[in-house]
Amino acid sequence: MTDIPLYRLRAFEASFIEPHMLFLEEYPQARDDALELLALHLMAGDQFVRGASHGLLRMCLLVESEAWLEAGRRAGYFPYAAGTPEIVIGEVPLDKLAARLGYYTGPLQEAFSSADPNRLATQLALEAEGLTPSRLEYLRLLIFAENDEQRKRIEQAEQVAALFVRRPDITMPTDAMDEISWVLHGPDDEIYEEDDPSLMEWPSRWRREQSWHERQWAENAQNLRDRVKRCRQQFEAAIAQVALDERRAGELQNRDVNAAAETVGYSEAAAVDADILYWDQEDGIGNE
Amino acid sequence: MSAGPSHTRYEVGDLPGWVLYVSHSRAVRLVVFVHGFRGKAVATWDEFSSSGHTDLWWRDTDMLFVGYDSAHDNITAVADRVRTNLRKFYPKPHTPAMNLGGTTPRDDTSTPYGELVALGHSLGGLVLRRAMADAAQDRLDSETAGEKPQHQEILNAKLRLFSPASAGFRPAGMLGLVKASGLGTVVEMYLRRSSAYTDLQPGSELLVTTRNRTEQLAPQFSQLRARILWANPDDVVNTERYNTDFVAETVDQQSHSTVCKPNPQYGLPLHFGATGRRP
Repeated sequence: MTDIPLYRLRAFEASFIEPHMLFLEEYPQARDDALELLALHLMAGDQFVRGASHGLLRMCLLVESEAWLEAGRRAGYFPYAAGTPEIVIGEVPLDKLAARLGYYTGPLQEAFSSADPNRLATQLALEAEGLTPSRLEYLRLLIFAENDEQRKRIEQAEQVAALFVRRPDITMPTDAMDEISWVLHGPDDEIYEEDDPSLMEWPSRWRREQSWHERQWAENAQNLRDRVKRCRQQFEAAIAQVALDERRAGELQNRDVNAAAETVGYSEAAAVDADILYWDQEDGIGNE
Repeated sequence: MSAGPSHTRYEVGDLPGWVLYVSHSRAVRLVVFVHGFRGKAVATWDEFSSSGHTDLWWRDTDMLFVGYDSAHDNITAVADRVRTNLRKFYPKPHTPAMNLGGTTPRDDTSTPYGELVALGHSLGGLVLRRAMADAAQDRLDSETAGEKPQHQEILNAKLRLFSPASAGFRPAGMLGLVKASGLGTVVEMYLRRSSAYTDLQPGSELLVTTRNRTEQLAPQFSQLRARILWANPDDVVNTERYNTDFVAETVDQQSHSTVCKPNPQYGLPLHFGATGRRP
């Protein structure tokens, strides 16, 4: 039976909903910790709470998925009639959790109006690609993680960055690189188009950094984000130095011994004359 | 043309990062896309995935976007993965994607494709070249041994490349790559000394052997002759083709990262992908 809206729905469920549901089933402790924290949060009123970060992140993404489903139905992209099973986390229906999770996500469905189905399909594809493991870890640490974990993880990255600046020829082991992948790729992986204000209407708005000033948890996230930014500037400076060194090495290889000695003497000026990219303390990497 | 998207995105379960765009028309061909440095299916190729809405050739095409991690994966391993897994998608449409919970994307889900096209960008171009040279070598080796060659599907492909990295990085190309692919990609490739970094140094063993094998095999396997579209200026890779390739074409005012991205103002990638030529 060919039913295109229903086919789209099944494909969406497989890519957007099932991975998070599977995570919460495979890690019941993460799920239960998050549910308990949410219950405490309600008792504590508006007091900001963090922790149980793995579970909370997945639950917020599931709330977002529900909003995408509704957006898709309104756009005629998904069917209304098809029976999609209710999402239940532990023993709690997602719609009951959504209000509590709104502390993090905001009122998603109310923020969305309607969409062209082609635009919606493109946006869903971009969103699926944007949720890389590095981006998920970045969001988890910035929004949900406790102070101790945040501090430990950013310090790891800062140490690597400082080492790289001091020793541009350094090679890092795989484990160490895996630990700092969230700093290297997390900010890059955000779906971001400067000229597209409509992005701020989509259900992913809550995790878009442009919207974080609206969030109660933004102040804490901002502090960590500033450290991530400074750390990345160090990496950027170091890689610019490496590129410059490689260019010089290339120049040396391409000349005879006497000319090579001369090159070392004026390599800075030659680099500028050759219109190469340079590192600027204020603006980062640019073009001379 | 019907309203609504012409394709639906389907994530291939057993191959992480591989995405199939399933046409809702009868698909007469499969186009395989292999991205470059830490590229992504939609982000790298921009409006290819939605091109079926306005272009009949692309509407009647299933599109397979191959995903891999250029910071971790070995180039030869990715080439091997592409070569050996293509049989799951060609010549018959990928069975798991043709029925989701009892629902099919189109009426005809079983007729084999009549055409295969392989598009590679940057590092993805080198991956495809390696995969095709390996398949050709395997056919010769198998014939010599009196055995049936395996994983030959990719030799049916028409090879079309956007600024391929087959001649390696330009001097200081890393900085161009920062602009093209993001800071994290380059830092990670360098600090790990990943395959994508070491193997793309001009004169590397991988670059030399891939070129030599391709040029030796191309007289017998014309499929190995690539059609190429270079960006001008390209500040990431050396713009040098193999001796056996077709004469390359160049497009001005496109960068290494934008050369393969069609949009309403730049339709050339769609035309080149479909024909291997400029209009």
